[in-house]
Amino acid sequence: MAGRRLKGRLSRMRELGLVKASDLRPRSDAASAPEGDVGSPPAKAGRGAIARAAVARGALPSFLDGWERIGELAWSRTLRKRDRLPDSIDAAPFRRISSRAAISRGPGKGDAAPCPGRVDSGSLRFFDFETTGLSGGTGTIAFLAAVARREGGELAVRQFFLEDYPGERAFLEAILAELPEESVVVTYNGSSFDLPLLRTRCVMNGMEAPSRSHVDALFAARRLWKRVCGGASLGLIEREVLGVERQEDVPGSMIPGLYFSYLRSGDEPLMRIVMSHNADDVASLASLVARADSIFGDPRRHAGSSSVDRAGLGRSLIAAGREAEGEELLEAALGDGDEAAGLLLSRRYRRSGRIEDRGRVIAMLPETYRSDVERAKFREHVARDLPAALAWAEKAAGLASTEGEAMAAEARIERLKGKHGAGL
Amino acid sequence: MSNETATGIIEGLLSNPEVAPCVAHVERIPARGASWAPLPGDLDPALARALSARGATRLYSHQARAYELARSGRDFVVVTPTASGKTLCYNLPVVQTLLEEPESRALYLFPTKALSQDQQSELNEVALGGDLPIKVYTYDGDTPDSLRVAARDTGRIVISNPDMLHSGVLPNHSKWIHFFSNLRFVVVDEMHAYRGIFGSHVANVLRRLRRVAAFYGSDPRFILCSATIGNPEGLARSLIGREAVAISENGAPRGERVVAFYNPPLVDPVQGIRKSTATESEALAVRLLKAGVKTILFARSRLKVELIASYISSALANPYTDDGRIKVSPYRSGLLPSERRAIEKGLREGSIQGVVSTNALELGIDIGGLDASVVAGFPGGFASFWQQAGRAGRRGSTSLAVLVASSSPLDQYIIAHPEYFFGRSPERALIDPDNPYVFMDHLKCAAFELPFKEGEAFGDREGQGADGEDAAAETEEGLSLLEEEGIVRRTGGRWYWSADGYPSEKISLRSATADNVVIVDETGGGGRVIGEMDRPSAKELIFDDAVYIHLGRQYIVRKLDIENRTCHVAEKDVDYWTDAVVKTDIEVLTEDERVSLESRRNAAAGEVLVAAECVIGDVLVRSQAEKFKKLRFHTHENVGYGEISLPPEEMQTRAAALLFPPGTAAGDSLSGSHEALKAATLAGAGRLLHDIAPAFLMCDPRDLGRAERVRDPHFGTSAIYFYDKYPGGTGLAEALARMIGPAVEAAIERLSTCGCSGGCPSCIGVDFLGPGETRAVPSAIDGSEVKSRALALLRALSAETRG
Repeated sequence: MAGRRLKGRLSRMRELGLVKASDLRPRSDAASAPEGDVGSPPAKAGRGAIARAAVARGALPSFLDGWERIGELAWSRTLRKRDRLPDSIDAAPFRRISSRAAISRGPGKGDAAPCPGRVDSGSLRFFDFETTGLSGGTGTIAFLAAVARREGGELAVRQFFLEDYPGERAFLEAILAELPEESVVVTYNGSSFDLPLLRTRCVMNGMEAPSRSHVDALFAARRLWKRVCGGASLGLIEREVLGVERQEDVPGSMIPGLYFSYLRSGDEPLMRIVMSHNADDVASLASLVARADSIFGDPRRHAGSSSVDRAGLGRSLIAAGREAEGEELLEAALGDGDEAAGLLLSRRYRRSGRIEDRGRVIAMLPETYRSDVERAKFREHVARDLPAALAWAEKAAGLASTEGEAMAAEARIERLKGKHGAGL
Repeated sequence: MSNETATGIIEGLLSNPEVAPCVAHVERIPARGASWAPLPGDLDPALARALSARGATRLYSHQARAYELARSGRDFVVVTPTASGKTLCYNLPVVQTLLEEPESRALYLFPTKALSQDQQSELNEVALGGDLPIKVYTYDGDTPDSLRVAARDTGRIVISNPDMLHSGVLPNHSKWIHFFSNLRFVVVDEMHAYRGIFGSHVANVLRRLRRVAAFYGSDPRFILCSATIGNPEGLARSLIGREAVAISENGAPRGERVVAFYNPPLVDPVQGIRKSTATESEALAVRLLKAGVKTILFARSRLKVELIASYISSALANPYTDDGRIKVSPYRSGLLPSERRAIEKGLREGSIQGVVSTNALELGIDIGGLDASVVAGFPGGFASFWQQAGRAGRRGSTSLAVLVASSSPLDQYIIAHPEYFFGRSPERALIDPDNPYVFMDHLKCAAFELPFKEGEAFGDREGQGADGEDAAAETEEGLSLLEEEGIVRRTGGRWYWSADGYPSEKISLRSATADNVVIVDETGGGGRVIGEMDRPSAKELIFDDAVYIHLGRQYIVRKLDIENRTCHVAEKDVDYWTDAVVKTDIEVLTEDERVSLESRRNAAAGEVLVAAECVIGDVLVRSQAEKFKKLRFHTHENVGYGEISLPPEEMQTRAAALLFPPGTAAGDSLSGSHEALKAATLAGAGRLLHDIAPAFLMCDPRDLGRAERVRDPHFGTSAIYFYDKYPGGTGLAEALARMIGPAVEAAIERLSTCGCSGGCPSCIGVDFLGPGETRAVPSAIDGSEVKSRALALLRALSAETRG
């Protein structure tokens, strides 16, 4: 009986002005008012705005000047940028490394597509999406894509734009045509964002989801520069490492709103900047890969440098199978007091049974919670000196800074005490 | 414990001279043999081997029937009590199909996470015991990322809950392409848990599930399981949007069950005051526990659970006996999951002998075999009572269930009418999938998941009275609302989700409001989270200076910070607890339906008279906790008041108003009373109807709100409102209005047989005030006058009114 009356109830509530869709939530305190509206576009949208959009639909939005129609609601253009790439790159040091695998070689988990070894630069496709949201899920779409590749001594950036939802299939088909099967797709955080999104959009349009070799440059960039630059966003690394200053840009968080604003009103002048932002992103990505590849190609030149995180560089090389070079860099970093490098080395030497090297590394570690835990482990399992292990565990407990650390240290102390007692 | 020992202890307790006088009724439900059926002929040999390895060489008749229906592609609902082998009703046909069709998948939905963990261990036993190549994964909020991919890609049976389906699976369905493309079965266990607002949400989640499955070309069959309720087919149909056959003959054997009604002694017969349900239940539980009987005690509120558990523990803490070794634990929502798991484990393994629980343990969480169940106060529903009673005696030996009556009218009615209790059909579980708030919430989620086509209906209303066209029109109207807000975009014959963000994240299936208040213990300067509570409850339970009890410890609320959704508490020993006084305003928004309740004043003459009027519609309810009472432990006497200053809660909901204008029989019966007497009469009759309602609706009296008006500002006449206590409504108030006849008859029966002189807690109450009113009782009001006026009002409402 309730079902028959829903229509009446909805329309009555609307006529009386009792509810707007955004209010179709329980009323709550003022403090929670933004809830439910985080992603909603500005309130100006209404029937009027929709009507205006329909009128404006006849005229071409200003930001599509220079674009070419490739489907009923899909557009494309090509920009040319400077090419800084070598003729080939070694993709191996770009691999994702899980924290366990950090001390030995081999690919990390979660690489959706296999990561190749040495790759001809001509087959690289630098790829980036602009989307209607960052939270993912099937309701998020991509409306703008850039695919950059080497072409005639330049970097050719082809961009695709989705004019409105029904054009999505044509938009996706055009993008896939730029990513042939033998190509290697290069992204920045594509493993968790751009590529799953591409897959989802293909599924939603009844198309076969592509599977391509993939290099996600985010992982190497994090290892090389995150600690040096204090972050690993593409914008930050572009500025700090590549020295590029963009003339005009929009913050990524504004981009979905600008596209919605265009959809509603038929134009949005700021979309022009979104489009150049997208093209700049793939161009910077290519430069970043070129820079990282040159560092991986001659790591010794960076052994004394402070502009690269040598521990991260060492880990990248170890993951690529260049273990001796990697250890050398980690040792150099430890020599300058890099605790993370020292802990990696200690775990690595433990794996390979190099007791003396491990003892030497442990002696060089600073006095911190993590290092003292490592010392306790060493004293317990290698030196088999339980009182000393207990002393280090107690020291670690004193340095614990989180509840989890304190509990772990306490458990270690209890266990050592029990073990010690049993041995007496 | 052997069956003879169990029987001996139970009979001993019931004939104990301190107990026997209060035992109002004992019902012995005899043991029953099994009804068997052979294993199906087409069963995969590997599956048959796995079954016989577990000792199952034949089936109960209901299991065989379930297999047959599943194999013929029907949707069905199995209605059986606990411990009747219901899991095989779905495991058998599902696993058989999965073995036959190597790509096929099944989804199992349980209302809570704990249940799904139990289920997985049992399923693994089925699958591994016979080396069956069926991968089973649990996919819920606790599943680590590393297992999620495997669960999605290779899980043949995925065990989850509606919340995870709602916020994790459906919005990301493209990752589940193999799963949805091959989805053959959806199992919905503990179906009776999906009632009220939660059920209304879940019905919409299942609409979304069917829509997504259809996108991938599959149309799964539904197998539902339910405890005994009055309308299993109806609830199943509302949930899955299709007809489902019910299997209600139970072929499982059953041990003898002794059900006793215990009425606490009257301490003041004139005022109708009885000894407290809590202390009497506690005493019974202590007797049982001391005799070595594993006992579960069900109490009505989280607060009572904590109170009774601490009473029992202190009663057992005798340094001169071994009783102190008997462990009793409280169990309720609001405990941390790890605390709950530890208690469940303790009960299973025997390190805990007794548990005091809210209805949180009503669901099939495995806590091993218990021997006795003490139900402190009728739990508000017959299905619920039988679930709680069924917690004892899972192993088939003689078990005891004691209902300890409270002084509420419903409890006293039941105590006096065991034939009604044991003879009646169980109440109906109600949901309203088209609650406009709930519907719009899920319409958003559905639009996010897949664009809507022009003319598409969200949720086909098969069997729900509306034809497809209406459903499509409703859907279009909802989508237009969303379009006006700019959340969806209509273009090219479709409606596309067109907003940043993830709608399901902001929608909770469990409560009307998504936001919870976190309770932080700051004893000694620390900051440890010890629990959480939904916002509206927080305003009535953990206001500034309230006493909050958690695992037997008392805390004083230092500050309830509603804006930051935090409640700061500190441990403190006090000898009282607190109870908020809530004031309610009602504003009528719409009148959807107005009917006259007719009565035959003189049946012989065929004279028809209007008894009263009833209006059903939308209302705005504004409730505010204004002050609180301090009540001393054990004696429950009022030892003081305090002020509460919190903003009011507002909600739009559905209401049914009984109106008594002059010229109607009820209106006439009120005329002649002075204002204060009218108010008391309305409050008394309203309270009695409210308390009796759960006998007719599957609900807790707290799911319904009530307000009486001598002169209602909207209708200009005397009125009693009943409203759903959830935004948008759950259908309860409306259903009560449609069953008002039998409810009035039961109320008349209770009131006319109540032995009190001038109102008591078992009929119209003693303070003659509407809910939340605190003014002093005018001395001019005589209780016996109120009682007779209330009876006259109810008689006037009755269809059977005699001239």
